[in-house]
Amino acid sequence: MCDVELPVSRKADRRPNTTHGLFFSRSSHRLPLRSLSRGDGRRLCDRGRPTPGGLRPALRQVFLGTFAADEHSRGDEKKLTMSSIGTGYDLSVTTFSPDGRVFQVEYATKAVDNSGTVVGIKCKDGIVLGVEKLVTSKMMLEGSNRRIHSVHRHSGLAVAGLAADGRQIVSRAKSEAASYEKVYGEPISVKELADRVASYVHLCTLYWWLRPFGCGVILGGYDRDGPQLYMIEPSGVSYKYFGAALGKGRQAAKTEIEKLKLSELTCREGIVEVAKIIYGVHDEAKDKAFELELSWICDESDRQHQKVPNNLLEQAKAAAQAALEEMDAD
Amino acid sequence: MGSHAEGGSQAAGGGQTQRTQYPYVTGTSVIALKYKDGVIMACDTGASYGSTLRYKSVERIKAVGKHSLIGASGEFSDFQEILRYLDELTLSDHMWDDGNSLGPKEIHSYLTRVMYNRRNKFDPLWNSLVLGGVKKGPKGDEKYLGMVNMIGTHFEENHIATGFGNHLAIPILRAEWHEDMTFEEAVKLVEKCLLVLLYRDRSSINKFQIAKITTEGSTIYPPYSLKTYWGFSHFENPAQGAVGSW
Repeated sequence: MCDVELPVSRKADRRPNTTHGLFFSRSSHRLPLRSLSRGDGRRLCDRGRPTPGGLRPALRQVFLGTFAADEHSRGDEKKLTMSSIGTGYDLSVTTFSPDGRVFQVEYATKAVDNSGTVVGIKCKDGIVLGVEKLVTSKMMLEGSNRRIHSVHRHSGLAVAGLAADGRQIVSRAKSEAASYEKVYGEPISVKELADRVASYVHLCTLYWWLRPFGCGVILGGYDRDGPQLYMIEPSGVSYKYFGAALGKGRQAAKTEIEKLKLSELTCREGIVEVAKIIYGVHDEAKDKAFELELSWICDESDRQHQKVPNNLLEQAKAAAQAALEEMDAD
Repeated sequence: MGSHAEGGSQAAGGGQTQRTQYPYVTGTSVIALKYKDGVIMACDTGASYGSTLRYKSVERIKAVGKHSLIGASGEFSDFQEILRYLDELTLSDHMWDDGNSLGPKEIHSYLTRVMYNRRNKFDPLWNSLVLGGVKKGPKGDEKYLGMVNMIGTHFEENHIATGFGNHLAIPILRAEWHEDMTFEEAVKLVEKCLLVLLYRDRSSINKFQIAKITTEGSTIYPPYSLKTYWGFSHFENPAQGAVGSW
């Protein structure tokens, strides 16, 4: 069935293609074909590869959908884990599904969910950001591939998901912060920065020639209104949090964060708690090695975003290890 | 410096008009010299509006990053713009967070590029900048002192003076500077030059700031005044013997 070549003319593209009813699923003939085609018979999904009739991609949806792997399988990014089958509504970020979802954005969120855990908490005197940086190769130098970046003196961004996409967001955030200060003479407020980053991420969900960012970011900053924590997801939504987590272990991390009394925690205690959470949610079986990256912005660091000083980092790691062993011993 | 501006008329090509630049609010001399622990820099805190001594509490020496000090004479608004460029530079450097930071030699080189390129566009930043600092190098702690002016001329020396200091302070520095002066000796020498400038430069005021930079960091001391002596007999009755019409 896949090899049937159906003649496609410009006119045919403008009418619902009922002759192909056998091969398309029932709903797909309602596809707005006009918007999906380039008017010359080639479908959007056929970027660069003129598949006659554009039949194959749609077919792929229908047939492979039945081979969908377990929805909750982690680390199987290579297989088409289409738990909720887009069935042709997931080909472009400019397409809504009949039940009002934009599948491309949801798939982008899956990329975030498959990455190492990222945790951010707002303590009473500042913010602590922590990343479970999964080490893919023993050859990698410690401290390379930073996942937490400074965006201005007073704020930092921790990235979960595709690292290269994250770097683009960080770069944009840096330039927004710099241009705000250039124009207004004052450092950008964290809320304003979060808004701008969210707008930028959202921008890439509006055009068919761009793909959404495959990363979520946690933005922590300390300005005139005190310490603030924002999380921006691939869809472009940004909310203010007192505790946020992204990545593989986010559910477990969120549960742990909820147990903490954040309004009474200082950042010094906070870094130990974050280390414990990350060590706790790390799955020893699935991912072997990881590096803990911790940063903070607090009164102690002079309200500047910086890596947690080495001695405190070692203390936090030691405490986290001890807590883990205690748990294992029980 | 201080000479009348010319040039900056219609550009040859491109149709872009460039402005003739005259400095409006200007600072006078800056003096700097290397001493045992680092670099010492001093200037007065005045900025003139033409011949009026308009602003009397202006800081013309600022710290740049961890390793350098910059002092400027000339148009003060251009100095503020240069400080903004340097702030952007040091911020992006700081955000890399890789243990590296810009040293005085690098900043001097950057400023030279900026000044020279602006001059070539007939849109100069009307300043003489003094850049001093200490940074660890392959041979240990290396002191650095250099200058760059509005046309992009730049050099490195053991002692620097800008503006009127070129004529009044440099001869003193050449005679009395020596390697490895202590901080007290360096301050004495600097104050000697500042006093001469105070007496002889009409745009200087009696309020000075001294700054130093060492491996520990930079310190800009609060402003203070020098004692002056006006008890010369010729000053007591200046009009005596003057030929007048009434």
